[in-house]
Amino acid sequence: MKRFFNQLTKRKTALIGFIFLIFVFLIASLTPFLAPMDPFVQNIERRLLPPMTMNADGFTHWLGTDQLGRDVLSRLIYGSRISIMIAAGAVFIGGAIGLIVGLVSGYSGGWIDSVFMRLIDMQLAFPFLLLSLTMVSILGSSIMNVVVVLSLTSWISYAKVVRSSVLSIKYLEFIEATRATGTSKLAILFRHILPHVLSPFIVVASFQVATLIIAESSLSFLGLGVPSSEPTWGAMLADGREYMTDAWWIAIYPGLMLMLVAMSANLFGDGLRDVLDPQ
Amino acid sequence: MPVQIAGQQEQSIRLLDAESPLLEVNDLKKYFPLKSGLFSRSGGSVKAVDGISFTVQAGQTLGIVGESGCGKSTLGRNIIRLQEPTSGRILYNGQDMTHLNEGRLRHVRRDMQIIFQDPYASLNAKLRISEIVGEPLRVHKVGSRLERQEKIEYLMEKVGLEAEHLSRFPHEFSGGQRQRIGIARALSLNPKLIVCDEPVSALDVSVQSQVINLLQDLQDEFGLTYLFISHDLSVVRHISDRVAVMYLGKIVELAETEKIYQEAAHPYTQALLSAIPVPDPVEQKRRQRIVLKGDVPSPVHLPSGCRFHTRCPLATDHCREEEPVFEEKMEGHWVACHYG
Repeated sequence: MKRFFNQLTKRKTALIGFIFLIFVFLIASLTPFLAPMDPFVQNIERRLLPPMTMNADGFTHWLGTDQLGRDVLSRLIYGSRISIMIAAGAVFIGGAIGLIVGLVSGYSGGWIDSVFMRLIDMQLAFPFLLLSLTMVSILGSSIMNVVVVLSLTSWISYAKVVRSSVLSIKYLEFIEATRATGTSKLAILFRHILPHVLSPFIVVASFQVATLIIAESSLSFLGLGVPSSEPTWGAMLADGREYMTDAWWIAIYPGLMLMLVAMSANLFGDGLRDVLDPQ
Repeated sequence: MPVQIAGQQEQSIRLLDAESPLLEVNDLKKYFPLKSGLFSRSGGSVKAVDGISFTVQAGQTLGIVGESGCGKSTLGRNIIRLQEPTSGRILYNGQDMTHLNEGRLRHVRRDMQIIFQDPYASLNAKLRISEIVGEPLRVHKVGSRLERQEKIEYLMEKVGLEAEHLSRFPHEFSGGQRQRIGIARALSLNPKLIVCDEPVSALDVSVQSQVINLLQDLQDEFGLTYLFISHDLSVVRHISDRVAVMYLGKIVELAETEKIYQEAAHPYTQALLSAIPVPDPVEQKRRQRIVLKGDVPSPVHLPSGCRFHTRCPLATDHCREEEPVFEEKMEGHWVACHYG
């Protein structure tokens, strides 16, 4: 663990990504204290105020207001909560499914492997967005449903990576040595194979964070994500699109945050891969 | 109990020595099916081990030599049931190993262990040495935690390592030390039979002799029986009581070590022996080398008759048509050749 952080701090870009992610995470967990105004309060008189405008009550709208007079900064801060929550939830559930499927499929081989792999091929044949849209329209839009939908569309990436890592080590002699002592299959799988597939798994997960935050935004942008009253970066982007020429700040700030978070997650993932896989 | 073919039974009786052996292998076959085409039509099979019979007495070492791909590692893995034999019988202490269920097999596995060729791939890089050496004890629930710890320390000392090494990880050790760790692991359950699958091929020559000596010391001390698989004829000569020479999935010659090295009867054995360099340049120039022509035939499409005839300097039409029987030509000297 100590070595891990030493290695990570040597990689500047990864460290920057890591720090930014921590920063966003802190913001997300401290929203009620950080948000200067109520993100849900509408005020038609104060609509489309540019950034840095002071309103009649003496509060400054640092990032302006949107078309319903809601404070953009407050919505941005609240939005981080939902974006992070959805990404973390989907990585957790999708990762768990993918890890188990990958381990079982890779280790047992045979027909079990074939069934899972054909399933994955089938799902890969559908465009990701189309699949998510179909599932959301069936399940209805709520935060939990979005998490479920994103998990079910993203488990494939983990399953494929984990399966191939299992295949690469299951024929090594140390596995045979363990079998020769009479260790059960389950113990071999969890004690000997799992630790070896964790590093590629973590790397995939870190990249998935970026993908999933953007996926959630895409769904919200299309109006199929979380309920429209909830502030999310994707929904803010969608709202702001119509006012791009008059009030650029509505769309630009959530867009900027999305880009920064996705980039940080990717940088951190790159660094993680280097640290965990010295080859 | 599988149905026995009369000839097989006969052979098994002939192979039985005076006292009953610790390990008896009877017409063992291992074919790997080749799959091809859309619906996995069977496209023949690789006959890695194709009808092998031998016995090993308790406390002895049987060396198995042969070139790469002749099936010697497959043979070792089949004997300790890391792979399922296609057919044939393996008797351990008179008990049929071939049809044991998972639970019984686990029990017998305490008696037979394996040491691998590659000291880098055979230790789990993510575990500490104490966990690697202690795993067999943990799996079989031998003793208390403290007793296991004592046993692990004792094993480390036996293989020439120190107890303080136990908290380290495999990458902190050299190849020879890693092989010692592999040996300690194999010894942990007090096995009787150890399959040594090229245990020194990946090591430096100086380290090779240390590991070989260690194996011999351990054999004397614990009365171990070895099945020593190697392609290195001089190493095999040093450690073995008897030697079996394999070619393309079959044993072509089996005899006491000195007989093999002094009076090799099979042309393949003779060719192998003539390839050992002699440390005397005059002698090296004078002696006759038998250089085999061509490559080893594919184990999928085996040659007709004697499978060595494509490369044999003595081959005749008879060899091409009829497969020679593996028989005892002299006392304790088994050969499969029409002319040997």
